Amino acid sequence: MPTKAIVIGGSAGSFQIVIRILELFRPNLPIPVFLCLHRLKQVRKGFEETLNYNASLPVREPFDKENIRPGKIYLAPSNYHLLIERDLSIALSTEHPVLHSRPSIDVCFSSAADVYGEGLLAILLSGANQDGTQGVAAVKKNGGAVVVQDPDDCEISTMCESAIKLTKPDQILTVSNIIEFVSLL
Amino acid sequence: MFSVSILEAKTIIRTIDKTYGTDLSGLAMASFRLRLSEIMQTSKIDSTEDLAARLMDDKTFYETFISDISIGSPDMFRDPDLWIYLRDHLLPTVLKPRIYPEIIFPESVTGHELFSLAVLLQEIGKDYRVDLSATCYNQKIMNHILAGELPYYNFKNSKDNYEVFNPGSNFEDYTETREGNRYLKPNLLQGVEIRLQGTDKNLCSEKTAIVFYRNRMIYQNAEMQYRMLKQLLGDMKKGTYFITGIQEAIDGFGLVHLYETVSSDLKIYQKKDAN
Repeated sequence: MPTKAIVIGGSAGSFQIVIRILELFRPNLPIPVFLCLHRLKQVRKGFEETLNYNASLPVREPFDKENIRPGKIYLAPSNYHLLIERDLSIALSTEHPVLHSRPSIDVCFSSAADVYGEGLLAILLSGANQDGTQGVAAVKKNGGAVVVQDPDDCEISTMCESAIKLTKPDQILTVSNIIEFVSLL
Repeated sequence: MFSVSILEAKTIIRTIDKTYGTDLSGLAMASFRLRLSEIMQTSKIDSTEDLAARLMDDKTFYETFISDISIGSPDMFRDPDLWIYLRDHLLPTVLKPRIYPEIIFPESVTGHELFSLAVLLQEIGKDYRVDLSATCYNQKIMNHILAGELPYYNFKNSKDNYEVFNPGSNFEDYTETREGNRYLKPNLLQGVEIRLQGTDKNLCSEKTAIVFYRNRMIYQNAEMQYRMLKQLLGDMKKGTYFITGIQEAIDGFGLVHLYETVSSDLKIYQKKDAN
């Protein structure tokens, strides 16, 4: 099954890796990418702009109901959960935080898994809480592929350790291996 | 997290419509399914067949279900830059020249936006004479708003937001603790009218200055969004301001002839003549 979409989740310690990943996507990437990163809830501006600075593809915080397009990187907006509808549009939500997180990686990954099934590739990066654990499990349950950053290579390993404890990922990779992996997509 | 399929979710929607005449078919499906899954988990209901049966047999459970499935209004002072703009720019322009203009919060669930404005008005002083009103789906939700309960995560988020909105002031001055639970002070809602949705022919009147409809449309499907937006804009008189959520877009509905954009960043609009 070819990859139809990529979701990337991360929290503390993931920002620099995300920047490097975003530089590597080829400009004609035929699939969408969803970024769910924990961030300050009262700060709406600056994050999208920073990620866009070196990204090879446009990064944008989508509006609710926006149609999903290939070759675009959708960044979960501050203080919203990002979900995906079956008609391939964005659905945002202000429901309560999950594991103190809004956007929640669990919500984003689970929703993407529900829509893209076997065609989803999920990448979980460094982070300081257990958000992402249920999301990774949902991706695997729906037949998708999961890459988790090697906890030994994480700035903060809690998130990846927790995910690996519940679900066996397809690959556990160091940052440099993740970078190489993404460059081959 | 998405243990309920689309088919099962639609069966629940049909059950509710058939039993109580409440039409939930306009809800956005992804977040509806997520909430359905959560409700089933917290209520320890294993299947949607069991949920449907319980909804049909137990009206009290149904009312709680409607309250739970209705997403709470945003945390207090969510998007602090909007509230700063309201305080420093919009409200002085809108309210000062008028006597008892009305500000409406349709489809309130927790009432936290209503409480935010009540706090803001208290802080900016007595020059402003404003009628605040809100509508909600049922009596249970109304009672919940009137009680002013502020669960910990709402309190924490609201306090964090407020501290950006009004640095140096103490959000806790507007709350009190009773039997271990935190509440917003009841005097904030003094004179505020809360009524059940659908009891008015028109939501807005000549007095209506601002309609708050923030982060409500994200829970509706596109068809419902269009209907609600058309109805709300149709109800509004020329000059009425209309505020949606920061990530909600209304420009794609073919209704741009009905409003002007006051702030595209903060999603503030103003009704204009249709011509």
